[in-house]
Amino acid sequence: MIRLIRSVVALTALGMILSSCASFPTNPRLNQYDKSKGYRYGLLDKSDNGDDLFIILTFSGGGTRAAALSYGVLEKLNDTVVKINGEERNLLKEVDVISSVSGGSFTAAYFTLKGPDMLKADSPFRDNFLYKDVEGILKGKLFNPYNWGRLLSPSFGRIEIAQEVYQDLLFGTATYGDLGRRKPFLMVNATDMAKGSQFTFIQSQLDPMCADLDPIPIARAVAASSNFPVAFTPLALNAYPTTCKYVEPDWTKTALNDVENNPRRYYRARALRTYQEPDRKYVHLLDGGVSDNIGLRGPLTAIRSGDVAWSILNKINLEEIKKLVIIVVDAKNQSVPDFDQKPSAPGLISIVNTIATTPLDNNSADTIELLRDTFRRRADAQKMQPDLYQAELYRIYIGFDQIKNEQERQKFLDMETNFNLPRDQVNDLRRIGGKLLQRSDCFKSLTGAPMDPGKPVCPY
Amino acid sequence: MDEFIKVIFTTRRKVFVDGNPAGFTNKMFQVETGQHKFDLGPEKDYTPVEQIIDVVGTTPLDPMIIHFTDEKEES
Repeated sequence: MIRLIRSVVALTALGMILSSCASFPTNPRLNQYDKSKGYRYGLLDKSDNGDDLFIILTFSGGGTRAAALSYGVLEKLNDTVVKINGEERNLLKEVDVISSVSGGSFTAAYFTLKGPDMLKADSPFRDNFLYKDVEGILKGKLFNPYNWGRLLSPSFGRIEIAQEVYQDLLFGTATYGDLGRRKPFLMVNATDMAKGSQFTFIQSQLDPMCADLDPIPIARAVAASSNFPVAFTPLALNAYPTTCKYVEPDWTKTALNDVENNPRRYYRARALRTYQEPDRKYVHLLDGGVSDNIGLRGPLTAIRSGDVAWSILNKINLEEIKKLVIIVVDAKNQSVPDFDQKPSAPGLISIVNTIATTPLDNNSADTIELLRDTFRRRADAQKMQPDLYQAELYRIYIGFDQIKNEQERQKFLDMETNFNLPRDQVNDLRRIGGKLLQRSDCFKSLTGAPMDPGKPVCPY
Repeated sequence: MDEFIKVIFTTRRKVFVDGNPAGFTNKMFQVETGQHKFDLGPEKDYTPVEQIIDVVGTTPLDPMIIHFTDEKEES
């Protein structure tokens, strides 16, 4: 016992000494703004995966539940072959963009880094993450006296410890520079605390900050994306505004003239400007779910606007995309609370949980509807006007509400949000992800699978 | 909201909207509602050099028509 106390005291003392030098890892400055360098969609290699069939995946938040559901979708895509220009192609190899939030970011980032090897039975992603008690490891680190001292430093927080854990378990020291130039384009989303808007780990987001994305570890982006408020501390990035000869894109000038006709675009331009303010030396990030818990906002803007560097609207106008496929993987749960069965007021945890999750769920539902509306209007316009380029549009939504059997549906809706799910639940999630994708009418239409008679093809 | 544009020119060229290639001349295409800067791809043998226009209230059946003039034709 005395030996244990001595060890704790020694470790705490060591930690306190280290606290004087503990700080979050500094991300380097971008020496010179240059659109021909850095992690950008336009610079990716298209020789094996062109834009004519353009597949976007969005992975929602929801801890291991979200990671396993999206993993099941990747497995199904890997098992699916489509004919493109007479040639049989594995659908997983046709994925162009993955946009992710929180728990979904683990799957998205690991797949982008490792490719289809991630789906092999001996992949570390299964044993080191999906089936692992990651939450227990995180708690163990936080209760380790060695870390208490480090945590005393005002610039070293619980999120830095989470990043170290994710590096040890999955990502190692891999950085954005290690992703190379192969597709898919990875969009890991967090939330900018100061603006309350989405922050995406791509170079065009970091350009106005004059920060270089390439040396930033993948584990750091994933930690920012899954940085659940209060449980973790906000994650800081260094910014070096006005030091890299950044040139604002042309659209910001016209957008800032036009709050009346398009306020959404005006606010996008305003948000971009805030990163150029000379006093903004740091950007503090929270969980991506705070601004968009399904990772769909970024792709949606690219579908609706020509302003985005990888604008899908422009690619359609330029007749580069023949088929546009967007698969939204939403691991939203909805357990039935028991407080309506009692007269007493719900407890603090129930109240905080409601406050934290209800706006996110409502926002996600609105975003999904916005996507549906965007596709429907484009499809209607194409029908009305043959002079408009005729793109094929496929919108596929994967969510537990689509499970027909009530008992099975509730089983998934009841699953908790954490990083420690029982093995059988993870297996169930993998299975249902693939099953829901395969059952989608729009997916059947895309892959040429037999359709149910009388059902509309890809309804909007 | 969605807006619909047709840029008229003597030959098929890329149309640049706010500096990005966003469509072709003489073929209808879609843009986001709001103010945009329009110009054509190289070479710069047309007038005006660029046009800044508020694009609002168009439909697929009633698109906004924007004209650029070929300098050679003009002379």
